[in-house]
Amino acid sequence: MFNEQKKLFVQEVTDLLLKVEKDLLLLENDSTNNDIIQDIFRAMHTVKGSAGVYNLEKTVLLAHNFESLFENIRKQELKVTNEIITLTLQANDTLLRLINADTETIIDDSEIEYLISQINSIKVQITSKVRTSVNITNFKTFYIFFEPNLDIEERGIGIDGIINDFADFEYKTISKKTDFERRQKGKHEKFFEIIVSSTYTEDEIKAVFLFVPNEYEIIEIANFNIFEKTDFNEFYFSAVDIVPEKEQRIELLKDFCNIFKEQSQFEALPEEAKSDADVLIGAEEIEKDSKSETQQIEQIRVPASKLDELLSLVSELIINNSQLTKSALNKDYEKITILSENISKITNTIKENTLSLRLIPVENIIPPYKRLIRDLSLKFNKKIYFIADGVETLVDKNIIEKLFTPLSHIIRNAIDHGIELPEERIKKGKGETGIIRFIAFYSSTNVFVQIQDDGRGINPEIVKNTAIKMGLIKPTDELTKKEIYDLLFIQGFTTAKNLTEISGRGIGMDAIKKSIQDLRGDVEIDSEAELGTSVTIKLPLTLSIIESMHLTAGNLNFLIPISNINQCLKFNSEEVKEFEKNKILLNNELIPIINISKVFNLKHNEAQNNLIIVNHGQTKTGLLFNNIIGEYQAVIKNLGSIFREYDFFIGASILSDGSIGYILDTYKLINKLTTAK
Amino acid sequence: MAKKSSYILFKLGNDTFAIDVLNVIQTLETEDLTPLPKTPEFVKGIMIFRGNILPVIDLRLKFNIKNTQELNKGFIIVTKFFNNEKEQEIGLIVDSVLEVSDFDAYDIGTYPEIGSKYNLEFINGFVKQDDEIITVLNIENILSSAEIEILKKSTEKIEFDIENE
Repeated sequence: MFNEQKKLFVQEVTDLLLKVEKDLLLLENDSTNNDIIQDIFRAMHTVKGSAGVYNLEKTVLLAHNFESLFENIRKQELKVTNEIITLTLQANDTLLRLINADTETIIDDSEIEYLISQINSIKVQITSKVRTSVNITNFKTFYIFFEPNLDIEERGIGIDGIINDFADFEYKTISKKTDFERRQKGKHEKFFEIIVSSTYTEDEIKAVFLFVPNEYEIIEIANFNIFEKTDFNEFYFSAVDIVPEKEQRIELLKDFCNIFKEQSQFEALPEEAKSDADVLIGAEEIEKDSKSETQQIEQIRVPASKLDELLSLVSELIINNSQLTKSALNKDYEKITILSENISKITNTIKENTLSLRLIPVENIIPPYKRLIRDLSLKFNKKIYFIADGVETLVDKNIIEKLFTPLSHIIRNAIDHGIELPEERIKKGKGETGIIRFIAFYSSTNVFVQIQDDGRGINPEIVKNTAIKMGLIKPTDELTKKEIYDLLFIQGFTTAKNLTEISGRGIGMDAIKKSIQDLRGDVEIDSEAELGTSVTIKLPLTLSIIESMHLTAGNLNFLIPISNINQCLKFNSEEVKEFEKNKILLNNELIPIINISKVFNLKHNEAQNNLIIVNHGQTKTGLLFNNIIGEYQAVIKNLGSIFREYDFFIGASILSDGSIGYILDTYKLINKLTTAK
Repeated sequence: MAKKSSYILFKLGNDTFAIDVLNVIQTLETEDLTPLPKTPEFVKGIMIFRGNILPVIDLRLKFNIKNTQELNKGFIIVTKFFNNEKEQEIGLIVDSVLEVSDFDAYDIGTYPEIGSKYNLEFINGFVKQDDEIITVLNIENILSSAEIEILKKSTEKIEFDIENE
């Protein structure tokens, strides 16, 4: 009982700390965002409180210091600096380790003392530093309409003097307009519109207009600094041109500010892609690999509605099932047919429902990458901007977990070998900040995950020359660019010493390929010298079910993934001639034919007259089977580790009649056959 | 105190063998097996066992025992063993399953190195029971040897002669 509670506690606190990590990274770019600061403060408070229940003294101590640091920040006695972010991230890591360890003694006292002393030294710095500077988050934006009377000069008041009072403001827009309508009436009136963002209150601004109390209006249009949010000037001047009426214009400005007000609220939400970290340089190097390599997602949060739906489906299934039993006893075949149809409908929906439970957005793996990129860019002194697109793409939980390590390798390579140092980038005429982009998207039955960088790229000539030196290819071989980059995946290719100086990928591309292939996916590299590199990972939507075509050859059942099939043909006698040469002419393409029964030495008495044309990369291949049974949703069963090298079978599946069908990986089968030749 | 362990006794041809019951999940009568192409002869195929795929190998063929019975009759002992830290289940076809007996660890004698008809790696020792010699098998070694043969076979190229087809 106690253990169960403790488990729950660990899970909850871990979630909280991971959220804090995410928030800290957000805060780095948005250092005045009060909502985030509040969130972190509250989270630490909760961690402290609940750790106290379990007598985790070290956790409580560290969380307390962490919390009090954020208390200072919250009260604006302290500004968020890079130093604070780095330190609190470190402290957060230590807390994560403390929470997840069986016993607190795993962490040395000195580590915690060090962190606390660092936190204290920051606090000391700040308290000595004057608590003066005005509350910078208290920005307000005012609209001021100033229309001096014609006799203003006669009264001895200089218009310029008043306007110049605003010149010192950092954020302002001043427009001087002559009112055309009034000029037509023979008057030469002028008016000024001033929009100013500052920490001054309305009264303080009013003081400027002390001597012209009746000739101005002041309206607060936003309670933040609009100039920081957007290029306000551009908007303002176009607004002045389009909307001549003052009142309308004020409304428009207010609406415009409101848009950004909402946005600044959204920024506090973790989903906001705005969080992409522009990593700053200069802070001390911090511990590498603070994050563990595998990101295990132990629990999935499931919307209650989905569970309700499942429950109602199951109860429907039970009802149908009891009716079926009754009908079977009565031998009421008509009823049985209807019921079995019903049941198959329900089971199908249950299957889809259950599968969708396993799908989670790739967003789940983004925060650790942000952290990785931040840490590595500090380590390598590179400036990197990380963009994540398509994070809402849903992928099977198992795939996401297994994707974590290969993706970290790819990102590491991109930072280490791809992105240049800021000076080098400037010399090349690129922006000093390199960009790493994470993109996830669907295409047919696959999910694609792409990591792009705009670094120096991989020079295909160097790769080719190295491969020639290693004896992998002959100097006379003509290789396409894709084939050249595929060389990078050959085992051992990357371990050679002279390779580290290639722009190339330093560590284990073969290992990456292997782990992606284990997920029934594939990985490809594309690159343009000096423009960057992109690594594309293609993955199946889910690991456990495959849409397939049920076929027979000899006495065996086979299943081929529908996504591999180009078309099914009846083999007909007119093509016998081509067929005898094991080739068939189809749409002007000569397609080799593989007789499955022969390949697997199966007895075949029946006519082999069903040709399944499958895609094999850019080309097509025909596979000859006895019969086509139909489409089948195959639940993939592993063949077992002793058959792991039989990789031309994805696995086996239990067919509707209880027999077993082998799921063919046509790509690997054809590869095996062509290399055998 | 001597340590007792339970062993399941079974027959291959005329000889009696034993394996530790800790390695055994269940015994079954032979079912229809689905042959797996391109595997060594002793791999009889796969079957569904408790919702998963169970590879089945014929111990008689693995041991080169010329048995009197028809090859496809017999029993399957479903065993489990650890392979690369993963539990792997494998079915073993035997001629007949006899009984479960308890032996003392001390009772298991060392098998003579000379004159053995079986590969010594597969054998943990022997026990004498009612004037009968029972050979105690080392299931892990047998299965890892089988695994090596399977892996070897799988890396063999699939011959596919396009011209003669």
